[in-house]
Amino acid sequence: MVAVAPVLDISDLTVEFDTPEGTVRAVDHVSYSVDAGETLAVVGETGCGKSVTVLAALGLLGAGRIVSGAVTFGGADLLDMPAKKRRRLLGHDLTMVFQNPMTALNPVMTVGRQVAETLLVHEPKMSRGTARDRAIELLAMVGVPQPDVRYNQYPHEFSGGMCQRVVIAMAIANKPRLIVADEPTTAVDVTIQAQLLDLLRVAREETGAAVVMITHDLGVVAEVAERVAVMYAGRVVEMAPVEQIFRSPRHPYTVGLLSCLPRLDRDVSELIPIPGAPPDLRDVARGCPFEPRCEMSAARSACQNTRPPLMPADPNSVSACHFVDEVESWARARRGNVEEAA
Amino acid sequence: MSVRTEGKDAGSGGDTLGRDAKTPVLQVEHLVKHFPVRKGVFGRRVGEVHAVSDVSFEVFKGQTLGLVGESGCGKSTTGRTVMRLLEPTSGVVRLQGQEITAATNPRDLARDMAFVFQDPFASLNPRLTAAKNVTEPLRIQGAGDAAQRRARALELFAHVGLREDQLDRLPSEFSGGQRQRIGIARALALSPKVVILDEPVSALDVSVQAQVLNLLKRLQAETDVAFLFISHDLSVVRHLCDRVAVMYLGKIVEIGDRAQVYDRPLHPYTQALLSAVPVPVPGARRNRIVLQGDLPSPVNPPKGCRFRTRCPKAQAICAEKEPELASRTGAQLVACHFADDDRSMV
Repeated sequence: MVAVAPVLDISDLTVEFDTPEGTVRAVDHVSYSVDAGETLAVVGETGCGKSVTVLAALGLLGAGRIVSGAVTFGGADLLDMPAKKRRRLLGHDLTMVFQNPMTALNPVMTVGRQVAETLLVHEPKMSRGTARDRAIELLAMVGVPQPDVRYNQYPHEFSGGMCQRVVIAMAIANKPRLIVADEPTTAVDVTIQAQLLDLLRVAREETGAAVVMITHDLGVVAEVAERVAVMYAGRVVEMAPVEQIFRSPRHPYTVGLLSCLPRLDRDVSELIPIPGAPPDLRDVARGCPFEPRCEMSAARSACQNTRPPLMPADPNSVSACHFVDEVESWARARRGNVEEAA
Repeated sequence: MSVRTEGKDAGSGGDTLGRDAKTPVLQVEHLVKHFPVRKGVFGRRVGEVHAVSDVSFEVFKGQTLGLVGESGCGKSTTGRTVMRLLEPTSGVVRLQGQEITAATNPRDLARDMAFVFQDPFASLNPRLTAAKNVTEPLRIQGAGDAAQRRARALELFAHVGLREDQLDRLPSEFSGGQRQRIGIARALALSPKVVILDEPVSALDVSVQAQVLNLLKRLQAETDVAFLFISHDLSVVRHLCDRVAVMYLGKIVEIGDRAQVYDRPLHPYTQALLSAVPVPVPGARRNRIVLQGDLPSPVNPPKGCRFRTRCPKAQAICAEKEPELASRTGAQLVACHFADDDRSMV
């Protein structure tokens, strides 16, 4: 890759929430960056901090507190930026697609006006007529049939998939440099998901934007991403190019995630689940957060007592595991054991 | 040419579906469920949601039938109607050969048929301990005294992988995966013949989902219970089910053995559905069939074949004549006029 500055660069971000039961560290020293035209998938289970990281980075966090870290967007510091200036970036250079399209749209405003408003807010000199024409163009581009008729309809007259198309139209309206998509297809059926993933790919190609795709679905990851960051208990535990994550994962959690997936494309004799459940963030293990569930660790003292830092595992990937060199042979042996037993 | 497999001659489709080898514990024939659409101050009936339209299938002892489809296809309504949580508009459900009717005592029915719900947070009584939740069916049936029920709770806990010291905790003290184990233990409390599971793992994270799927497989192997497994997740269904029925807009469009349906789907909808699921293999070359448009309204389903408005193979005949669910070239049953020339699609 050529040495160009990344579009979004998050470094060492830590976010905490105060709750009646104590402080919860939802994001724990997270760093990742994404380049123009690239899709980074951030994957992890419920509560791993994948959404909070990006919300905090964009200044959209409601209750939480950023304890440390820096976030730059196109070289500019997002966290220190005056709110007014950040507002001008959001919706223009930096846009979001949320999980639930029904709540992302204003229910009492026509769909077309919402798209037109996205244009007008950032270009006040644009005439209303031009904004309308451009909004209809955008609706057509994202595959809303009869866009001139649909322009005047309200969100409740649209299906979930159609609403998400409208949200995507708004996200690409101003040719953004970064699109953050937070579980954009989780609320829709698979046939609609296929349509939306195609649409997002086209949107990225048209705008040349960088994309951060937050998802829990490894199938979606394999389909859209170039690079993958795997999160667990508020931390990035592994980051690598997509082929490598799936072919030779370098963290026991990634290994576990992949082998507990039921597969559509082949028969799996037995799923190998990860024992236990994700930790309560109020009470994360002192050492490696994954240690209580890690079968490779076998309760070694390094795992129990020291947080493993995110270190280069090989030229392309980083992994937060004390015994990263053992992961590959352990994963192979684990697979072998199960096949033998079956 | 095509073998009709509805009604009385349901057995003629045959041997390939394993019907001769085993007897069905659950038979569902021509099940129909309509919901009224009401309007105005007086609740005038202005139409009907055709949620389930003429659905027939069988579930065999020790086997799992997967009922898959997208939201709104009627799969959950089918499950609930079979269990008599909803009264069917018409149709027959037989449990071990015995017809279930409106006159059937729900308490008798509950002895042989149980239900596991999707949301493990809403389906347990939050004020009862885990043990009491699990043995509530026994109490209602008047089976055993408190000590015997407690012993049974312990047995069930061991069965589903929960510990003895967790017996007296409240549901709120358990994680989602553990709650679903409690829900499964409760369903098994009366050793039923059939358990209907409605999206039992959809609310769980993948690492926990695998635990519950393995548990279900093990329990079935141990007890020979039959499962009707309702899910939108095609990968999960492939992993768990022996046979699969694909639903679209209130109808079964294809039903057959797992291997047949997944490796050689005959209905254009099944083909599109399978091709739409992203698989966790980067760069996998797939010929995706992207369906146009959305699901039509079940209040006013399309005439003829219900899938024709989105079907890439639709012809004039599809609007005129509704295709029968029948055996074509393959062994599975499929409701499509053009199921024979399937190779062009895959």
